[in-house]
Amino acid sequence: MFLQGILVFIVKLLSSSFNPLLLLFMQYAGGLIGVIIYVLVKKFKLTISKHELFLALLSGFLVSTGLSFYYIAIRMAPVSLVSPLQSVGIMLMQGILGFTILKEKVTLKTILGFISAILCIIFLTI
Amino acid sequence: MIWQIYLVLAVLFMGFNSFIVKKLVKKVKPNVVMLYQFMLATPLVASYNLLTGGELIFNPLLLLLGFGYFCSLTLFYVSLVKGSLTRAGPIWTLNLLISAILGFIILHEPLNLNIALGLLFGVVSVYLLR
Repeated sequence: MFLQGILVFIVKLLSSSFNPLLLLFMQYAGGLIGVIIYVLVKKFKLTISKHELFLALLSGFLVSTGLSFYYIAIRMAPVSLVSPLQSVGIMLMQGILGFTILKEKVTLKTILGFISAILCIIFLTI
Repeated sequence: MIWQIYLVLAVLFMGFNSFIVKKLVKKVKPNVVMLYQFMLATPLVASYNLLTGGELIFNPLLLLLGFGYFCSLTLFYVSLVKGSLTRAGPIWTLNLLISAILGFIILHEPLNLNIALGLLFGVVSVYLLR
């Protein structure tokens, strides 16, 4: 949690000197090296089904495109606004997808959580 | 107004992604998922950079960002294995506070009542939506 929060802050600091997409590219390049070494050392099984491979690659497309937009937003606006809005927004989306697609139960706690998330977004954007 | 549009797009893409990853990590080891994600993401982001007129400048120090990103994700996945998503997920999401606090202290970003209330509701929503 701390490491991720610090990383986002470092991106904000560096985005004034570097193109945010270059930062993201270097982040992925460094991460790719790290994960290759880790997977080889741990001897994880790399063969997966075609369906799982499709989902993993789709996920790669979604997260890299999403992070590209996010890093551009971080450059343009204060990180103290962008980071919380992104986190809460993703949580809201997960909840909405959860009960529309997975038909997850909606409890009073969930409704209060959604209301809090919406209030968070309102207060951070006014 | 334009940063808000980028942020909404980011949330849409990353929201769908987290939905897919949740389904995927039930069957495939998270670091293997990361490997395939990064294998596509690295050249894709390089393309986005070039298409928007950027340059690909190799800076070894910036690679450390990637090591840090990989470490933070791996630590999160380890916490999921050892703990539960209902506890680890919200704690992970609280990284929103870390970057916000660093923004206030180091970058002297504005902090007013609206922002403080927004962050408070953000933390409350993390707790309630776990």
